[in-house]
Amino acid sequence: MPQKRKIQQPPGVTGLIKHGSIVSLAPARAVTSHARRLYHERYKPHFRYPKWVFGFDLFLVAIALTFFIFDLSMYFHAAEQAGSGVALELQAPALKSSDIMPLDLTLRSTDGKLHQDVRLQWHLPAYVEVIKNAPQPGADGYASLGDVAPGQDKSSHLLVRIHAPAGGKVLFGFSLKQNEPLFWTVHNGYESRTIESSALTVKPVFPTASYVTGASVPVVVQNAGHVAIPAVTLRLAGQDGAPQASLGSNGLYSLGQLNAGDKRLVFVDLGATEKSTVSLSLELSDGAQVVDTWNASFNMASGAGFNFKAHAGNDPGTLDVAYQGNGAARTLVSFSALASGGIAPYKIVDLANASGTSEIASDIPVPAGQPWNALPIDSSVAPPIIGIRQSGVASAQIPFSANARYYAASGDQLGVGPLPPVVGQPTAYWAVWSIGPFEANLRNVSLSTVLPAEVKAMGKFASDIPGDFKIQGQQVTWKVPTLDLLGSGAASFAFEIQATPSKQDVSQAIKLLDESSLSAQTENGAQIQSSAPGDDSNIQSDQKGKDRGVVELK
Amino acid sequence: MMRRKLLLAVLAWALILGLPAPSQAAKGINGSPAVINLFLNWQLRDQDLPSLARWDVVVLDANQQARFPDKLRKLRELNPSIKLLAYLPSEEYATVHQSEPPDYPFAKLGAQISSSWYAHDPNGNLVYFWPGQPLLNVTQDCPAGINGEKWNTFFPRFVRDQIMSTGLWDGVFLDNTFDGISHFAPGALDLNQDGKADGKTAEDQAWNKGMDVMLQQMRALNPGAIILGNGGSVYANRLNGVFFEHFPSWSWAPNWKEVRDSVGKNLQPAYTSLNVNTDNQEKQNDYQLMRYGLASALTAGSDYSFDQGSYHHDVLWWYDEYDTSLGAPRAAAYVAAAGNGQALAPAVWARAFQNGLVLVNSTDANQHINLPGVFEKLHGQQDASANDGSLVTSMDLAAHDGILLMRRSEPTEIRNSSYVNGSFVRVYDSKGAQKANGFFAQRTDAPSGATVVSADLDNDGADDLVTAQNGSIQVQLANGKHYTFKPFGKTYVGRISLAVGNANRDAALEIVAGREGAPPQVKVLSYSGKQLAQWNAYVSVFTGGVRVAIGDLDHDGKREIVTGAGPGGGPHIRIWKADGQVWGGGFFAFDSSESGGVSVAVGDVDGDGKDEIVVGSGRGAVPRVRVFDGSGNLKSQFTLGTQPLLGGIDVAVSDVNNDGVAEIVVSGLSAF
Repeated sequence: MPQKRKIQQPPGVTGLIKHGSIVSLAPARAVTSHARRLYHERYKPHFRYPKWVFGFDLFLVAIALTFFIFDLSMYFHAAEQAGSGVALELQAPALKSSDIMPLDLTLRSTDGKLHQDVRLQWHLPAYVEVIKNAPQPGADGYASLGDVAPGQDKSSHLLVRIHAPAGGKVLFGFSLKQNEPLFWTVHNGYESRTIESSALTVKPVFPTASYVTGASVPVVVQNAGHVAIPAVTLRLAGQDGAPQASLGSNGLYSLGQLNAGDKRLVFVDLGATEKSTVSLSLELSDGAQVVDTWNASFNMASGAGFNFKAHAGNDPGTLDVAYQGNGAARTLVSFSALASGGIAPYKIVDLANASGTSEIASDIPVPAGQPWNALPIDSSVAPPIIGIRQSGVASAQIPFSANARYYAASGDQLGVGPLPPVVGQPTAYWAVWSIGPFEANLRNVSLSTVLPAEVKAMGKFASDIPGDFKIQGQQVTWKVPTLDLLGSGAASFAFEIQATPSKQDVSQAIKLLDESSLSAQTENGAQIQSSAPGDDSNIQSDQKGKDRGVVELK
Repeated sequence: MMRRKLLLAVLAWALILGLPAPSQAAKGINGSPAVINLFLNWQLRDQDLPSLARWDVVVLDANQQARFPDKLRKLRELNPSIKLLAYLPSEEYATVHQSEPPDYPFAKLGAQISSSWYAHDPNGNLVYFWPGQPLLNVTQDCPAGINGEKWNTFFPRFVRDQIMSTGLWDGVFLDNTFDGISHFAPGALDLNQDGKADGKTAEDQAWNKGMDVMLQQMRALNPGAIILGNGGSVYANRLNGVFFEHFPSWSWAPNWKEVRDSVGKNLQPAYTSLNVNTDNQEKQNDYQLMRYGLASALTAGSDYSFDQGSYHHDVLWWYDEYDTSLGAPRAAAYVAAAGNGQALAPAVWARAFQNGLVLVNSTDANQHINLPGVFEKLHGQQDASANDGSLVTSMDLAAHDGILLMRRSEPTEIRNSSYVNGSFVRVYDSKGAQKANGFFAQRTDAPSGATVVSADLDNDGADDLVTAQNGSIQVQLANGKHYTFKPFGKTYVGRISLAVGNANRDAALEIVAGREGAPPQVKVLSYSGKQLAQWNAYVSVFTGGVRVAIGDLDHDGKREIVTGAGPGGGPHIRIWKADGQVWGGGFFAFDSSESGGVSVAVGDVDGDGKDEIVVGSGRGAVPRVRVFDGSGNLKSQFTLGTQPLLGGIDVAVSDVNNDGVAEIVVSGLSAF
């Protein structure tokens, strides 16, 4: 049995030092003895190289502890940050919904220090659409503003469109991130602003008026903003006393796109009512949110003080109005509820103080085939009494032409073969039917022509409008179920023809197209019949190829 | 073993990732015309490299391997398909090379040439091919040198050990591979060194046999090299090509026939080339001469070289015709007009190619030719009188002139990019130069007004058709299968923006659909309609919808999806991964105040190997096209008018003329 070795006390070491060392190292011994026990129990019997494994595990624990302590210190250090040291100032005009609004956020150092690599993130509600963002944010949503030095301003600019009703509040939130030594700090803030008004409004034509039963209430929808609003709708949100009141389809009227400055007239039909007072509630939407409302109550009147009858005049764009009664009478005339282009969509005409017939010519753009409306207004009393709306379809004359082309408008060659044409040699042209400009949608459109004997259709055609193209002998027809002209205003159909002149054609132009005919209906039921004269090989509509149609003998 | 495999895999990936992106496609890789440049200037300026890289084959002085090895590598980097050939005379040596640095191959050659290999006259004097360039004895009678080698066996070994071993060259251009010598060395020769004149017949026979041995040995020792010989067609079957300098050297028809026959005899790949030059005069603008030669080469089936002549084989003349891509020939050349049935009589020869037709008039008179269909002249920038872009079914061709005609563009040539069926389209390069006449993109197998894309969806080698109309997508596979689906629900009947591309690296292509209404949703679908991903490109209340395109913007093999805002929105572009994650920041393609939206397409329109984003202006804007890289940097732009266009323009990207670089196809411009 080995003897226990006696500990030799070195000279000069007192007992105080010895015991002091023992006591001071007690915590360390607690750890090492625990570790030693752990080693003997868990490692030594189980591993081939227990010292290596144990050492490696201790190393891992040490790393974990280091990270933990480092993170803890970082946390407390960050918590000590008293503020960002950067002031943010939001500058924006009075907020207006449905229009483009600039937002400017200015950053300034308030603690007299340099703030490095400052980054900003905007937090905007879902109904705020960002049109432009400068500087652009990165993938993390933060835009880099660079360093902010004392006395230096840095800005972030947004161009937004707010889709929310006036009166509501918009919460503009910001996150500011800056690069402190060793870590990033993030500070959040927000500012609330009220939406003062809407660019898109609905207002009554007559703020105070009485209506006879079955009359219509005219309202004007206006886009007073700076940009087009592509899908405006007006909804009849409620009524009191007018159960038959109607607007558009199921109470929803789609106005389509309203360009900046556009005004459009909409009629809300009251229907029959026995009440003496009725109320209406309308909601106007910019396609995303309701941005304006109109609520009004008005009295019902027993009847207007004159008889009134209107019908389309013989001349396009005119109305013939017959009236009979006493006292001052006026009429509100609208040739198209969809009149646009920044021009007032209606006009109010004073009628003479006597019975008679008057032709009212429009100085409003008069789209052929569009509905007209006329409201009788008895202005002999106050408030005026609005009578029953009369309406119809304006007479339609649709622009329609048929031409042959060798070159496109761009100068590209479409035709093939000699130009001028040569006896016995085929020259191919393209025949073009053009419809419009016309501000109405058409249906059951049919175009046709019979080609001259020396001309044949080659079978090639082109149109980006769905339809049915047919060649039967010399007859060419094109049928289109629906033709949406509201978007583009015009449409064209083209097909390839080929002419081979004979000797008797020498020294003259040859006929390429005889008269073409068009038939169609407007969506309002107006029947349209039109015809277009033919064209010859001098193709006058072709800037590059015109006057090169006299047949040569080679 | 495993570790080694891992290492190899890592190395392979490193190589793949490290490969430079090709910045320029070779002309000839897409078929004719293939062009060759003898650029024998001792200088090789940095600024000339991009121009020189446009040729399919470039012949450089062999010394350039020591003088400018990095520039040779640069040429290959600029055009990975380029063939670089080292120029070496086969039967002479310029003694001036002996004073060059010792690592130059010609200096090395000079040091190894045995004095007994030079040709002598009966008096033992050296015979000179040019002043300062003694003639080497190519024959089998040449005395053996140090290693028992003769010149005609040493030279092939030298080429192997000192030229091809550098790895810089694809082959050699051997000058003066004549089958006889008496024509070039009119004095008496004593090739067998017996002290007597050999006589013309004997020396030519010996020369022919010796050259044949040299070329056989050259092929045997350099099996993978392209070997071109400049010296007649006798050895056409020993070579990859014969270089016919100064064509037509005496008469067009027999010379042309010799070229054509030579092509037929060449070892594959064949590189027989026809050189026309301006007889050492500075006449770069002699377009008719250039065309005459080019059309002769194309009808004969050879490559083409046009330069200033034997004293100036160092020009960078480039012509509109070189930029065309005729594709592969469809048949042999035939007499189109003026022939008398005799094989070698002057005539108008024609040859049909995949994408066009070539005519050459070898007669002394203007000829009228009726063409087999409608063809389009080139939209040239140089000789507008010949290449005026017109459509023709017949034409006059001047005496000793030629012309390249392209097949008329058809809607089916717009592939992998969408357009509205029935629209009038114009074709531009990335700089705005018009590449073809505008035409009506009307497919009769799809409804008018539908959005259409033609692409090989199922990777079976045949184009399939995707159409979208009234909220519904129809897929017509070439194998007869049909799929119809409504990606945005049964109630949606609006327009759908379409793009087709490989979104997930499987063999099939996917369809990317953009809803042109609210919400501006993007959906990635399999061609059978299975939804793979979806997201909103813009705020959900935006009613203008979204336009979509797909492509590989960073050349990493993964496709990105590019979206543009529809009408009512700013001209804003966003880039996404195929699963809808944001790939990069968005940018405004035009002034942010414009609110007509944009159209987008993606494709490699400048031939740099990376796809670009092509953006067309929206409704109510002056029609403009802008080309951006994937980071939103503007690369090029052009304007297509001065007045605002109500409906805006639509852009597509497709290689309409099959030249290997995609064109920009613009629709929406008024045809009438």
